[in-house]
Amino acid sequence: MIRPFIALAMMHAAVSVATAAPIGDCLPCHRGETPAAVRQWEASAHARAGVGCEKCHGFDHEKIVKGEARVTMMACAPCHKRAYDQHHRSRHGMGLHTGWGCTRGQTGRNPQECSFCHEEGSRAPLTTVQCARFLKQSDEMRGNGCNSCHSVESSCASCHTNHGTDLKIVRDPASCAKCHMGPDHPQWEMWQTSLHGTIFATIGSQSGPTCQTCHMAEGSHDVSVGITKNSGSIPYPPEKAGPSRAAMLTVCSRCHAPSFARRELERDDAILRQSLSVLKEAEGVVWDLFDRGMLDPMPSQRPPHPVSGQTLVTDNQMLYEDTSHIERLLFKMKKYDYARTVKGAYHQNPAYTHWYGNAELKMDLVDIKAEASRLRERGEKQPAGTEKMSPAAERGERLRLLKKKLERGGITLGDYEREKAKVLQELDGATTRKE
Amino acid sequence: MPSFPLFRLMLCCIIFLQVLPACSSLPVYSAPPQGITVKPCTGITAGAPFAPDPLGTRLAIARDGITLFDVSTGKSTRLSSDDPQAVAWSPDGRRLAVVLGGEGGSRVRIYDTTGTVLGSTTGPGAACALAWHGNGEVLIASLELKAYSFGANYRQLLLRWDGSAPPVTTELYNSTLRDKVHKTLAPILDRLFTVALSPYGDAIVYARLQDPPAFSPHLRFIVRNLVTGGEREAASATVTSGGAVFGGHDDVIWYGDGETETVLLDPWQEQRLSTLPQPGSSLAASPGGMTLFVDGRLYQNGRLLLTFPPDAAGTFSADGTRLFVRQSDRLYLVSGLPPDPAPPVPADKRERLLTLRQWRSNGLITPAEFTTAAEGGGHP
Repeated sequence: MIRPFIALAMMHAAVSVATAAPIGDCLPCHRGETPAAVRQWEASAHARAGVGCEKCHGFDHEKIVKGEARVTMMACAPCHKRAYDQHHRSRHGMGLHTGWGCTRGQTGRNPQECSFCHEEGSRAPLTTVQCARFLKQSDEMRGNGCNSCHSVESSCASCHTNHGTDLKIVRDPASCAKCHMGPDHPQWEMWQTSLHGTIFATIGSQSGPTCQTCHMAEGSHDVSVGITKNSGSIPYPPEKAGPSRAAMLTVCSRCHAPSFARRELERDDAILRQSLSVLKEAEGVVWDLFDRGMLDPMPSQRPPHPVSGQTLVTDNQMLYEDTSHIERLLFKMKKYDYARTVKGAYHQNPAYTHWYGNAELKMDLVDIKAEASRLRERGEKQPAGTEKMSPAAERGERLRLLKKKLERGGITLGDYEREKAKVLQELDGATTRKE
Repeated sequence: MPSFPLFRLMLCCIIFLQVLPACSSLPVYSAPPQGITVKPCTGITAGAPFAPDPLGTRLAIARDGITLFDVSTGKSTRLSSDDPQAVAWSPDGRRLAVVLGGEGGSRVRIYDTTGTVLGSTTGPGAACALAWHGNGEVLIASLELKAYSFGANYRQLLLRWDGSAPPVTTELYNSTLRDKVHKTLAPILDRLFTVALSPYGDAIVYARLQDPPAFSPHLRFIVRNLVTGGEREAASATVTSGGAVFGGHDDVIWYGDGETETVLLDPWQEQRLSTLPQPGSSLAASPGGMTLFVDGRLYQNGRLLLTFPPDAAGTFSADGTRLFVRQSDRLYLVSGLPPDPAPPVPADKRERLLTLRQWRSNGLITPAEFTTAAEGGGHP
């Protein structure tokens, strides 16, 4: 009974030996096919240490050609365990969790993506990831616009490049710029045009700190050290923020007086709180319109949100497409202008903090309020042929809106009680008048 | 001339012989209190539905179809040859809503008192219980079951029917019954879905069958506002409970826990107001809530008046003075009860009260705010 298995095992071993591809086997062809890859590898520490193609790519040439043998972090982890562990517990180690989603059932999906969450042949996911904005994109846009950055979770090459190992690449802030730039989180531009960046550009890295100096201190791959807020710039609770702040102060204190660094960061914390309050006010305006059924279109009248269905979403799963105009304004306010204000402050860039951030943020609020007024005015107009709401129904509607506002934290309990008492008092007045 | 002791003995014998036949024809275990009489009424198909009209002078009963029985003359009129599964009179006593069984689902019909069919409908699911909502609308509790290998999909529906247009259906509950539970309870599932209308006419209390995976199936009594759809869970009971009914005044309900006691509950304050030592497997309350017929026992303000066998079922007339009791295949009339109609709501306060009840049902005001506002305000 066991003989066929032994025979199979021997055949498999024979085939493996036959298809094993020592370094020398790859190079003759790949010098012509992929010359850049070969050149980079030949100049790398991997080549010097005798780490050949097969070590990372495996032996199955057919799979490699088909693109089914991606070199993930797991290929690097056995030798670079410390870096892997640090990376894994950092925000970069959660990259895909914030920019991925299950595409099962969608047209134009890329089946290769399934392997991130599923073991081969299994429908049960190993991890649950749903990014609404990712799920709204075409396969091409996902590949380029989402995965190129968010694959940092599982790919060292995302920063280190595919075949080179020169640390000059990853020590240059430009390697961060690929993702950390643009309208939503322009940290690279902020740094570059801050005093830190100017000193780096003029005097050099000895005096001018880079991204890596502060966020990857002493070569750590844990880029989250010292961060006191989540990726949506919402502050961590004190028990989590406290140790992080202490870690960042240690970094700052290498160049600055600790008291100065503390004062600066506390001022930035205040800017964050003030900006968050402006953002929350705008968010409350949009939710109030939703409660009144006045968004145009309402979520029930547009394609369902990929994660939450036909409801209003203003959290980190907010969309910039298939929404109402006022939500699009809120998206810009939250994802661009709020982020720029806060990140600009922490990156010591006054122009970003004020003009690209704070000013835009406050003008967004003006726009959102104006749009809300327009929608309310339109929504309150009695459509022809419809009955006017009775005073009792109108009071009920006010109570409902108040309750919704309380539930989403848009009003304090005390104010809610006072407003509710007013409505009940009006009911007393109405009854007395009738009597 | 017999001696005095012998005379007394003879007198006792005469009284005994006079009383015995009367008592032997009544399924009551005790003599009725003064002023209350119990007398046989008519025959009925055992376990079949019956309903007295609002005045308590006519009975709609199931006996070889639907029969109207005049209580004072003893005359019967056959309305239809179809056997009813539930019957309910309109508040004005001019129309009778009836659930009829049949292949392919149940039908609901409205008859006038001559037997003319005024309306007919076949809503989704199987109709289990009826209640008139004013004189113009019938509330139909309907159950939809779909059996699968793993159990059954169980949907409780409320149909609102004006007698002419197709009924408007609202789903009250949608769940799955485990296969074993479905098979065990199948014969009584329709009986478990009880519905009672509030004296204010704006709310119902209905029984929802819960079948949680790790627990025994049980009933939950839900108070639902018909205008807002706001619901509040009032109590739970075993599946041997006879359901819940409104207790007349204020917002209280009577329900049987199915095990040991029948409870008068204020569902809004979550307060038990009183209890009776009966499981409440069969339950009827006078419209004002003063008199209660529970598991064959007639109580008035908590005092036991009469005892029928525990499987007797009863229904009160609209003024509360008459109780009709079904025992086996006979109906009996208990009369002479003190009047106890549904509590009147002053017309000038009605609108305000119904508004407050809507707000409370949706959680817009607290029960305490409701009480203060219902009593006439006083808000700061």
